[in-house]
Amino acid sequence: MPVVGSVALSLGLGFSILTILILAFYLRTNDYRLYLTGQRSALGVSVLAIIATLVLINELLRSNFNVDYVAHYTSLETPWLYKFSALWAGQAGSLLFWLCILAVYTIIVIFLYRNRHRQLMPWILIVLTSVQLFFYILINFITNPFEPTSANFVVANGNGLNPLLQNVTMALHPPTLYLGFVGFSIPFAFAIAALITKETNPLWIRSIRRWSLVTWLFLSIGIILGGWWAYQELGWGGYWAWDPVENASFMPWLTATAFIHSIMIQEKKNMLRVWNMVLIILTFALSVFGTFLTRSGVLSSVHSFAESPLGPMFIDFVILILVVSTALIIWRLPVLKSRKRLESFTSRESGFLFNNVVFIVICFAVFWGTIFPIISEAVRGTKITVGPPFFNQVNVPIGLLLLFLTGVGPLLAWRRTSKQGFIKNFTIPIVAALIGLIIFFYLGFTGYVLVSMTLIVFVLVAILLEFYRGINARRRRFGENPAQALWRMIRKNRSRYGGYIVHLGIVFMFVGFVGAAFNQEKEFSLKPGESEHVGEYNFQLKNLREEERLNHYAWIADLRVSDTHGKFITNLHPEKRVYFFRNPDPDRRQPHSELDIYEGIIRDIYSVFTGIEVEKNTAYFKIMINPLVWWVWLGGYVLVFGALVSLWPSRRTI
Amino acid sequence: MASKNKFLFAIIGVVAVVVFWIYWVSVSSSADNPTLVRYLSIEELKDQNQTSRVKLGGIVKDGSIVISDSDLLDVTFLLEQGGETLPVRYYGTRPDLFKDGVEVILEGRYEDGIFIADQLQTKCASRYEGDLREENNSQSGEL
Amino acid sequence: MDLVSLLLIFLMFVGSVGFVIQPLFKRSVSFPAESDELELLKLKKRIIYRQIKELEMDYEIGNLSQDDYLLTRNELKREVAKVIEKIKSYSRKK
Repeated sequence: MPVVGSVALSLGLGFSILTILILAFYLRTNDYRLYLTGQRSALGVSVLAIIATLVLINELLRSNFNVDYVAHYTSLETPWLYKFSALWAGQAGSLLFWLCILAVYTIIVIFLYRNRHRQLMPWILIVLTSVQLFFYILINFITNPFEPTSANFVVANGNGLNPLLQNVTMALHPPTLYLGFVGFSIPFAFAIAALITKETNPLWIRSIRRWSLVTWLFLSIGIILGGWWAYQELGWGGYWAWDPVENASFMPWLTATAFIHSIMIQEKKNMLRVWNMVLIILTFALSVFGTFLTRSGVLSSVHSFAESPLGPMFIDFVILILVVSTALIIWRLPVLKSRKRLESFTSRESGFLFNNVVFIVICFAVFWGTIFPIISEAVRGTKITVGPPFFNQVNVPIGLLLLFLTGVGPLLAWRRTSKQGFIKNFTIPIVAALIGLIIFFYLGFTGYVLVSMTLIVFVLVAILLEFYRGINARRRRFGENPAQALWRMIRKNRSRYGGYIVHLGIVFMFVGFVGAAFNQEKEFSLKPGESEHVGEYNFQLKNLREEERLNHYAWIADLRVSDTHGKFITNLHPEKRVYFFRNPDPDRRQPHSELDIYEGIIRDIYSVFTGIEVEKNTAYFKIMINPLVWWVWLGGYVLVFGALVSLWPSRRTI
Repeated sequence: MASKNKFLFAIIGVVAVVVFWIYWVSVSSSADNPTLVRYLSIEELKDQNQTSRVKLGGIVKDGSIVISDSDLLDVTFLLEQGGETLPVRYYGTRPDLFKDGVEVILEGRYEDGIFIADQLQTKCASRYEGDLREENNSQSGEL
Repeated sequence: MDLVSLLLIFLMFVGSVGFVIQPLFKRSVSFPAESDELELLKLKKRIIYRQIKELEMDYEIGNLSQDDYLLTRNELKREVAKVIEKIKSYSRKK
């Protein structure tokens, strides 16, 4: 069977070259039959990619260890869900998975727009097929997932998946992220096609707006799931570490967020056309770059990067994208330039413009911090690492500026806001923020925390005011009750109020980020019966149990958590596990700390069972008190809900 | 034209301020706020007798891990890298994967011939690398 | 290589080649009638109407002063009048 997958991949490679040639020929001859052939060929390329992926999934589920990839990432004991998720656990599989998603998207594009965008479609298909061709080349020649096992013996069992990755969130995190990464190929293809054909009509902008929003949503969910997984599994007590892999997904998210704001200006005013082109191209390039960062091994060392041709090929591809796109933009500058220009600083447009600048600036800071170690190692020989303090210090003030703009933007009217309007809209939020400022200052908060809390109040009041006024206006006009008014108001203006709900989610997340300033952490050891204080909480080790389970051995601590007055709060049961504990070679056994978290609106109590001395009957713990983390996840849910409100199809949108 | 320039200047102003800000954060790296940390080899560390905060990478020498009798969190071991070895002391929770022969990244200070690490990370592997044959022999016996 | 795989590969090959070259045997066809131009004008009209509606809502909510409201509304109305004119002349041509 694996040979079917291999053949599908080779055929796909051949057909993708063919597609590009046929479509190029069509553009010369204008024979519509050639276009249909090219379209079908593009469809064929995509279907072949999907067939190859299905074959690999089949091999993974059947545990065919004659395939090297299957033997490396699964074992017989691996539950079927994780056998399936092994598809994106390794390099070869994840590249095939990337290709497969792009194939699905390509098929959707072909069906949705088969009778539309007549000028653009040939070029869109050429661009999408070229991207597929790149991945086909990688998969066929550099990392083939159907490579047979190199061993000259029968492989009885595979290596298995790291227990850290055996987690439902971790199984879902990469595919959502990839759906986002790959999704930006579509706006990119539209943009390139529009540049080449000098398409000035804004119909295509309409078509890609939904695409961008959907892919933005996937990217957001992927990032949030990644943070959630880190928090629940890794045991260092946080959800974001400015790790290069995290940054790789954060950078395209930033440019995509900028884009879904500024596209509104292009749709309404036909302005910022050059800028939007730049954002689309940047987002796509960053998505490819992100795949490269996570998949080429460049992060561990420049030298390991040079060992495989994969890294250089990715870099060349990114450079090719940037060079071709830049050349196209410069070539089409006369067509793109708009005659209109912004009218006033105090307009929604200029609010968006500054929000865009801030997003790009954050993206640049993150990019700089991510590649600086690589560059310094390549150029100077010594590696200089950039730690979380750099990212936090740089981004906290910029992020607060962004939060401020989140509040200001919706208060500004399109085109211009007069002085009266300005006063009218800003008075209540500013007064509320000032009252907040005084209260928080009085409570003893200072510095960034004080500024953040004040801004949170400002934005929150601004958004709620917007809802309140909308409801009131409907009540006055139609005599509806508040619930009805709210419902109808949102239904009639989905994108607008969906957007505000997303902003609300972001504000909640900021509440959670502020909480991180008050994290407490303590490491200590306990014998059964003993107790220890962390902050305002008391931890008593009631009992230390051990248990032998199906694929691991576990020590379980029963911790009783109470407040300073001795009032019971919860019981926590962190575990210390050893996987492969039957292995005679101790080095092959794998310890794993299964942590336990008591989650709450005010704070989380986070417990890690770090070690055990069996002879002394002593357990070691790391306990953290993390205030307000719950709000980050709440913000995530609200954000997803808001995006879905915006996306929910209504009859009139196409 | 004036309005266009006004916007251009405003944007350039914002960008200039932020670029300066990034630069300032980079150069203002200090002991309590280590924004940038140098990654050295053991040889460079010994040669320069570096006492500022640095990062080191290497392999934990086989059999060199000594865990204190009185406190499980207190550990010393020897770090091997580029033919040199360096004694390391670390206090705190160790990653689950920490053991002999594992690749680690340390952050801390070099003091009187000992590296006092306050951060210890093992190289995170998404899977078990290794010889399939070895894995098979050991596991097939059990199953 | 087993027989099933061989068969599958054969089917895959023949199927994709046949599927792709099939349109070449059709008699000459042309792109389905397009109305991109008209569609575009209608879209423009819709977008401007939407903007007017949003503007009215903003005014009702109280986000806009009367001067701003009237000024912008008149501008938008002039724009939409132009678009409607174009739509009319386009359908007259047909």
